[in-house]
Amino acid sequence: MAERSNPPPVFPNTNSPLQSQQYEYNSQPSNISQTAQLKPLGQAPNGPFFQPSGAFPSSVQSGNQPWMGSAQQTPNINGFNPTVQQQQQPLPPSMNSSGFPPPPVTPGFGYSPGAGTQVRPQGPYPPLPPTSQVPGLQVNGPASLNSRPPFQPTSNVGSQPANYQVAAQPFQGLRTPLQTGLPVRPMTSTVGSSLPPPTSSLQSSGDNIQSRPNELLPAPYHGQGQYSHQVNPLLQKTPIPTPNNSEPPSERSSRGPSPISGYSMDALEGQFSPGQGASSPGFQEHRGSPTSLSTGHNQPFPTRPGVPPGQPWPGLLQQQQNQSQPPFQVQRPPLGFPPMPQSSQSSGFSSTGGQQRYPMPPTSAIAPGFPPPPSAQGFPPPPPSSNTSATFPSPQGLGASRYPPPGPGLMSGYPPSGVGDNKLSALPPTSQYGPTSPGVPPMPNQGGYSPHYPQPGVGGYPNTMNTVTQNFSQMGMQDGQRSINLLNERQLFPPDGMETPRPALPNDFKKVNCSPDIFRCTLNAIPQNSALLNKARLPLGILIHPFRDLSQLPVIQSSVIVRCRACRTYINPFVVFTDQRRWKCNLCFRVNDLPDEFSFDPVSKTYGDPQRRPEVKSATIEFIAPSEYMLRPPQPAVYLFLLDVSFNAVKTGYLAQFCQVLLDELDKLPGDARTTIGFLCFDKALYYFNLSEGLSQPQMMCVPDLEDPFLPCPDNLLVNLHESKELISDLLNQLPNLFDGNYETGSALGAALQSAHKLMSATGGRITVVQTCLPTVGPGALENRDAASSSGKTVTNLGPATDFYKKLSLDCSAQQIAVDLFMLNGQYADIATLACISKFSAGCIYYYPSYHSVKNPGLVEKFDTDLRRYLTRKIGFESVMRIRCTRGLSIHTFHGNFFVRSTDLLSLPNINPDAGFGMQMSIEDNLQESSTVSFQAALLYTSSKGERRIRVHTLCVPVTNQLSDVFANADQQAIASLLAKMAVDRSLNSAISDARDAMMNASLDALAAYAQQIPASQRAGAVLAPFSLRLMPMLMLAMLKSIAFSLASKTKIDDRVFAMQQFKVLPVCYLIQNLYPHLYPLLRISEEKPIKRGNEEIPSAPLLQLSSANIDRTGLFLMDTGDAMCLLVGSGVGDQICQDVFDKPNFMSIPDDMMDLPELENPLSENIRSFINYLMDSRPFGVTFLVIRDDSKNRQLFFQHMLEDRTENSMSYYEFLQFLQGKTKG
Amino acid sequence: MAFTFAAFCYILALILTAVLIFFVIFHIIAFDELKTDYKNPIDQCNSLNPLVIPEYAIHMLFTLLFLIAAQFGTVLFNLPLIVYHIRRYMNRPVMSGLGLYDPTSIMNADELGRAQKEGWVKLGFYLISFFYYLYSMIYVLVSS
Repeated sequence: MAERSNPPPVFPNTNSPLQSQQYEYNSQPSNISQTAQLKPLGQAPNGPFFQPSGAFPSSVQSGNQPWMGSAQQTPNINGFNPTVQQQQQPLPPSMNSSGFPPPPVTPGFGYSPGAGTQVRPQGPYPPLPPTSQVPGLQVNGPASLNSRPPFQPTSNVGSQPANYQVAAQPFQGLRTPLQTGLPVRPMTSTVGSSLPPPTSSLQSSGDNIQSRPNELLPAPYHGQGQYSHQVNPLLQKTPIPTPNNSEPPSERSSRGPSPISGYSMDALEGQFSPGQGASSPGFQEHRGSPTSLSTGHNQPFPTRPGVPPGQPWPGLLQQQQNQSQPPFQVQRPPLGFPPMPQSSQSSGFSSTGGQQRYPMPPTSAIAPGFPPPPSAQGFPPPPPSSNTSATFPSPQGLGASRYPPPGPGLMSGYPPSGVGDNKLSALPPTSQYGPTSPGVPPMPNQGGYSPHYPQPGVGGYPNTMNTVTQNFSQMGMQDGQRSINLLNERQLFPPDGMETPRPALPNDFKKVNCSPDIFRCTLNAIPQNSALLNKARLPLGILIHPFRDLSQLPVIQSSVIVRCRACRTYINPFVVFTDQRRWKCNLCFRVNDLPDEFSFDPVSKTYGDPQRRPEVKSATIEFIAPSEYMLRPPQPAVYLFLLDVSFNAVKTGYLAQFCQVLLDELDKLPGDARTTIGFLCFDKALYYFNLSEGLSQPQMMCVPDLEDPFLPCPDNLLVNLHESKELISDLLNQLPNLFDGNYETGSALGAALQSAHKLMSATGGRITVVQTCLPTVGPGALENRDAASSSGKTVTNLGPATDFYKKLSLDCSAQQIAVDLFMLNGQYADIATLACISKFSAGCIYYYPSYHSVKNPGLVEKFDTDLRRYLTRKIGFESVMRIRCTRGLSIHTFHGNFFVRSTDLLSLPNINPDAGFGMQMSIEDNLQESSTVSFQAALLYTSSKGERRIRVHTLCVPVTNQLSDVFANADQQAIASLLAKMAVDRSLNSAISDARDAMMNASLDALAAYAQQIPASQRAGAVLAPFSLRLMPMLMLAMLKSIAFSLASKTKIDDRVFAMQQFKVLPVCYLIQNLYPHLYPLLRISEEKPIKRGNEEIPSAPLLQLSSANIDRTGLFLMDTGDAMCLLVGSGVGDQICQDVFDKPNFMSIPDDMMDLPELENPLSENIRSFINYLMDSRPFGVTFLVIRDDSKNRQLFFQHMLEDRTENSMSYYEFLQFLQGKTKG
Repeated sequence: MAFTFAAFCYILALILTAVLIFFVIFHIIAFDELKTDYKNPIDQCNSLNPLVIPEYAIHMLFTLLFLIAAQFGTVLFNLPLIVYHIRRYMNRPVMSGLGLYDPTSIMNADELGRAQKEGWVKLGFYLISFFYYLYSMIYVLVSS
């Protein structure tokens, strides 16, 4: 399908922008003398550190733009065949494949797909090193034989061909910045025309592995059939320690990309035409670059004081824990179902959890080699067959069939865990999807909920095959039985958090399905047609957090990226292999040929089972993209900081903090040797800083002309971070003082942004804006609209006042520039308008209302944390994300920060790990062709190391034609998130009151639609909700009371707009926490159910519902809204507790502005502090912390979050339910 | 049989309606291209926006001429579309230039569907009015 033959104009051609930019530069200097004023030191208000300089450097120094310079590399005419490099590799003669012992572990487990002849010869197997490096080696080691040149000791550098060294010369400096402790592999890039076939390089595999004994990072899974099958499941689960700057090291990063001539490149994700055969050196070497399997994505958050560095945040943490748990330790009854906890509030209540508890017989689809995506439920992965083989007969025919044949052993010895499983196991093995989904029963655990009418067979798990048929007939009834009368049921919130439902798929699929933290669908059973969807009255959509920091991510570097020829879908675990050579796309149902390389196993020199490939085993995967995926050479990391230095800004004192943090984190900025940085300050004029290498001091240039802002010097405004580091440090040290006493109040943000755009347009990158007031001069000047009307009911102030920023943002987006905003304004700054600059350039927005470095210490700390995280987090440049979905579905609306470039393509100049997206879907056709639908999100980006990568997430969801299934599998958190996003749109396009009505109607309609199915006799006097949606009215009420949508007139318009903006971009979990904050009774903290983090065990407290009934006078309560924490001290708290926790003799002596807990050495204090620290570390943004006494005037800060209570102008939860009930009747 | 001002109006309207039909066909094609991914929304909006005001102006121009020519039935026939145009333009997204279409919101399925539907309805309307003007022109020429 030639979807796109014309490359989009958004991406400039390979070299032209640079040239045009140069031209522009050269034409500038004549102007300069007229308008630019040099601001010599003496004239600067306070800091005599700039040298007056008489002349601007007018010549372009290409050396300062490494990507330009390096573009002159000698093209390498090697073919793409990775074996070329391999053959160039001098092999130490002593290495011999026969010298490797057979693998010491997991004999007979996993690899061999049935036939003994295909078993890989054991000779080339590397010994398993005893350290945690093993997973990498195991996973990738043998796999990397021919296509990945090994790490070589640096002494080998001399053997490099001369032409490479020339190219690499300017970037020698890279070796130091790599902090990973890796020996750097020299490039081998001479031309080899007579190449042995790939398999002939087997011997070198061992050498490769041996020659990098210090490698901490596992290498990417490599193409060319390098399957690593025999991964020891134990070792594989070991979390891999990540060095600090954890981007996978890449040789590529050490040099500029090469000109890609002769390639038709298309940056539109996936829409490429194959290259015309010419190769480029950049990708040649690239192919061989050692990249990491998992470490590149485990970037720890900046740690808080008192917490050991390097701890990943808990999202990761949990996964790591799961993985680090040896499955053998899990005590699990081999027979029968483990009794579920009676209280259905346990997270394992769902059928998902229940089934997951069950060990699975290993099928080929779950054969080891690549770890299954970690389960978010906290369940350990199933034990390998060696452990369970007594109970579960391991299916022998591991070939093409995905499901084990229902052997007799399975029937008798392995009680089915649920109806879905039973159905599944009863299927003939040839059926792939079969009748599994529509009738998959919902979670049978009804625990604490009063069923409305008892059903036979309820309350226990069907443990034998005999009950299966019964359950078939009862499935519809079971759903009904799971309804809850919200009026009666007060305790809805599980004490360990809301459960996360997962699609009820057959176990094979469930195991590999995308983690709900990354990708989730509002309905985990998709209605078969739009009529059914309308009947359910629930929104259908997907929520995705595509660039989330991951602890385990398979990275593949393969010569061939297998994709559907028709719809360009990447091969994924949910495709159907019709035979060994063909696969059927699960999105468009086209049958595609499988390239030979995909199933070729170079070790055994046979064509094996394609299902062993990591692409087919993991729903989240990353490819290292070849040059077809580039429109231009990958850009370097370019950062430009736009700092407001007007009177207002100086008064807040943020500059000192900002510079200090940046100075601290300068080395950790993601990037490679080409990283480029620049600064631009603005008040009523623009201040540029020349930081060129040769200068002894930074040089400031002031441009007061705003109407036609030009760049005062053609070069050196953006400089290489490493070359000019001293100057940059100098500048950062002196910047805070430089503008001290600046009384200029105007702010020319518009002009500054225009100049920044001009400055960056050649490369793209990231612009960071810190703004403290309304921009009032120059282009893009704004009026204070707040004065006119302060009520949020007026729609106009929620929308932008001008489209200046939007247009500029689109220009930026076209040049791959993202703009991030830090708003530190105390007064109205029209965030509604300014936010446009970030919204459409895929930036992010931070907001610190009334920031002041002295008066507002809570925010200072939050700003500090946020900024550190912001500066050091992973970043992807010039990216696009395409969402594909099974035929019959289409994307209706996108939510988030991006520019929609076509119906399924988002243009994201930058992608950051904290950005979430939402998409409303619509059903256009009947979904009858398959029993599942899939969504695939493919994010193509340039890593900060200059590698082009594609991250692919695939989510598979069953289709149903039963309304009851739709309700039973609804995901209330996702629904609430999507409704919040839709409500923001509604508020902007119409009015907040409309959005509020829509929210109420959403819950009303859903409940009414559900009640339709219930017999009328049950409905009387009850507000019925399915178990899966029992929290939806509560979340809707929370949304109605949130800052964004509440009608309280005192809400500042900026606060409201920012809250709306957050609803659009927050990933689900943070959004839900923002809506419905967590409330912990700190005195009930205990070590009974500790949270595990690494080796630590952190005591935990249960979650409470946000009702004042749960608050008592004698307790300590922690309210955690995500970006703020309040600790409420009850007035009846004993003196001992005050002493223990706050180091104060009694309640009355606790000060009002306490922002930290003293470090006291008693168990209570230690528990509380470790718990709070854990909570703070578990999120990617900073938190303000405040201790509030029950009698304090700030107590409203705490009690405003008591969402279930009644306030002056809002309903209590119970009233809301009654309101809903009344509406339903009427 | 005489050549009245009304007849002149109808002849002019006939020609202008033919122009409008071309406008509307271009509109339909453009949105179809957007929907099928062939075009970048920014480009597409840049090419569509300059045509909005001319279209509205042409339509209003000959309606005004009909008013002057006292062809009130025809004016009544065109009035709803004029009202729709004015309302549409009042409620356009915030933008500095002329035109209706904003590249950031155009890709929303609702917007896209609405624009496409609008194109087809207008095409039908202009076709009907084309033949109506033709008929009226002959009628006026013959009757007077």
